[in-house]
Amino acid sequence: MSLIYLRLELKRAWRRLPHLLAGAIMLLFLAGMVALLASRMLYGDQAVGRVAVGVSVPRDDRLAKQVIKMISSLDSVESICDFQYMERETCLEKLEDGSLYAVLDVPEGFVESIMNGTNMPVKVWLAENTGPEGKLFEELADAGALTLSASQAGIYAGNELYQGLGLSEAIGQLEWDLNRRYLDYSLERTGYFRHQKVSATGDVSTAEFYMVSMYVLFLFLSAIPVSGYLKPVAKVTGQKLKMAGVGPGSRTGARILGMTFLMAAVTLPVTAAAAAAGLTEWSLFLAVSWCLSCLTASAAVVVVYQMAGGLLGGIMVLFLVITGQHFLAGGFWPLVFLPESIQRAALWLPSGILMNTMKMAVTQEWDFKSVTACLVLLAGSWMLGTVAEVRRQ
Amino acid sequence: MFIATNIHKCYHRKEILRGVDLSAAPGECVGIIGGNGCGKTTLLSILAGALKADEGTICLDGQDLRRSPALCAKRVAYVPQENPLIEELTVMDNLLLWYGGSRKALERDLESGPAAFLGLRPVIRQTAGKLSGGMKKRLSIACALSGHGSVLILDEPGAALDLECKAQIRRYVKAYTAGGGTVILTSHETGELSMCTRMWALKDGKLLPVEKNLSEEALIRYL
Repeated sequence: MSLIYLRLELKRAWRRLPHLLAGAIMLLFLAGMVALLASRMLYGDQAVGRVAVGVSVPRDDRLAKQVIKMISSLDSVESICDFQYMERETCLEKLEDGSLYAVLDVPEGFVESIMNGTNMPVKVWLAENTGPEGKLFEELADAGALTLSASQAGIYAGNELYQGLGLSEAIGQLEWDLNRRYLDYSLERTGYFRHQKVSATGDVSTAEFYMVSMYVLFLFLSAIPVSGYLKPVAKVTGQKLKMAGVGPGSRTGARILGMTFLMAAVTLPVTAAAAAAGLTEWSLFLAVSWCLSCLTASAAVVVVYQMAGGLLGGIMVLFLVITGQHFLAGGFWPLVFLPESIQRAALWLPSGILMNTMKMAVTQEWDFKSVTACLVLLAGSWMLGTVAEVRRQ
Repeated sequence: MFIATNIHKCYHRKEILRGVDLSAAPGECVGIIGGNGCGKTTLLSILAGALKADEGTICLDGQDLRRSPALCAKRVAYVPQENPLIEELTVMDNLLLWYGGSRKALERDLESGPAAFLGLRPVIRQTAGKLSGGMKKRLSIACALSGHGSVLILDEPGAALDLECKAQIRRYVKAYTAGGGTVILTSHETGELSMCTRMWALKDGKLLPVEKNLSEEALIRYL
């Protein structure tokens, strides 16, 4: 009897497929918009603009001008800073009116002071409340100062060594040589850095992160166009089915499988498109994460409707609970930007679990912790749904 | 012979049924009347095995139905007040569910069984949700009788139906009892109660015997 009920439940689900497809188009559009806006806020051009920096160099100090030009042409500086050369007064005026984020005031004899160890400092003026741009330049300037101080430490060590060896007359030449060579190397410092990409989205790129996040959100919200299918069975129907041997557990299980069938039918083209576009590849990782995500998401939405007890309640609870927990699970805004307590809880939220599971399809690596969490969520939802059904009866 | 003895049922410490005794012989139609909320539906649900009694026994031909839910489901056909249909599915699918997937048995009944008598063949491909109220009730009865049970329990079968549908259902009940079946029904309508060979009134959790063929005014005194 349970198998016949399951077959009819799948048939009932099949009849709802057109509703789901129509709703899916709207949902995909909405999910795409959310992903685009969130990723642009996070890493788009508007997040951190280019840092306009005024540079005041003494008119006749050609050496200082050359050094500043070398600094400004470095990849790390050039990618975010626009150096503008002007008089000191003009620089400060522009800093005040907000058209510059910072001013570098290079003193007379700057390069010579580095060479002879007197170290005349470059004054760095920062505008107040300039946001991330000012902060970024401050960090760059600090990094530069640290580089120079390291070079000075090397020179002093050389001085001491030469003095100890009785070569005091050669110290001048040593300082000159060390300064020249050190500057040659340190100004080409991009070679020293390891190229390590650090992202708020973890192992996956921003685009992949939002693709996974919106896929999970889409799975959950795709239940709304087929709410009629998820409406709990009438009390009398439940009673009669129970008499015929189809208890609350079987009914909940059949409904989860029916919803899984719908979710699988609507996400298969999306998954195929992602694989065709090279965002993921056909593999066991993709198959497992796809099956698990559909099964677990359908169990979660079934339990929401069972507990809500009706159609409208189910829609409202589903929308509020799903969007709320998706935010807390770092679906809209990566977890690193959320408080630590939420970061810990996020791992146990349905969206967090499903997003980590779906990431397997992108990274092509097993994440057994997420697979286990998915199975626990599936079993827990089935049990909770059954209890809700028993209580309703 | 269908015999229920000393049936008790409490809801939230309120005793709804206080030792109900009821018997019905083959070919008999037993009617139960009572005011709204007096426990008629609860009593019928218990007799049909859909609800568990706190105390008491229910036997059919000497077999304890409470100890054998499968037998109860097979031999007792229960038609609740609301239709237990899956409205998105067709009449055929609804029937197939209760026929345990047996197309042969269903085809046979569509030729000469309860489904044929109730006139379901012309609407067999229609979606259950699109049927009229009367047709849904007939489909509910056909679903309940899929196991060819010898006891038919009807909870207000004519409620919210038009006169023609009520007459059709009455005709079926008469044919069913004429064939040796036992019918237990609740109703508020004198037309349906006129079919009954014996009548009871459920009051304060107990069944009281009621004379047959009483006028509506006389019946009200029992409520």
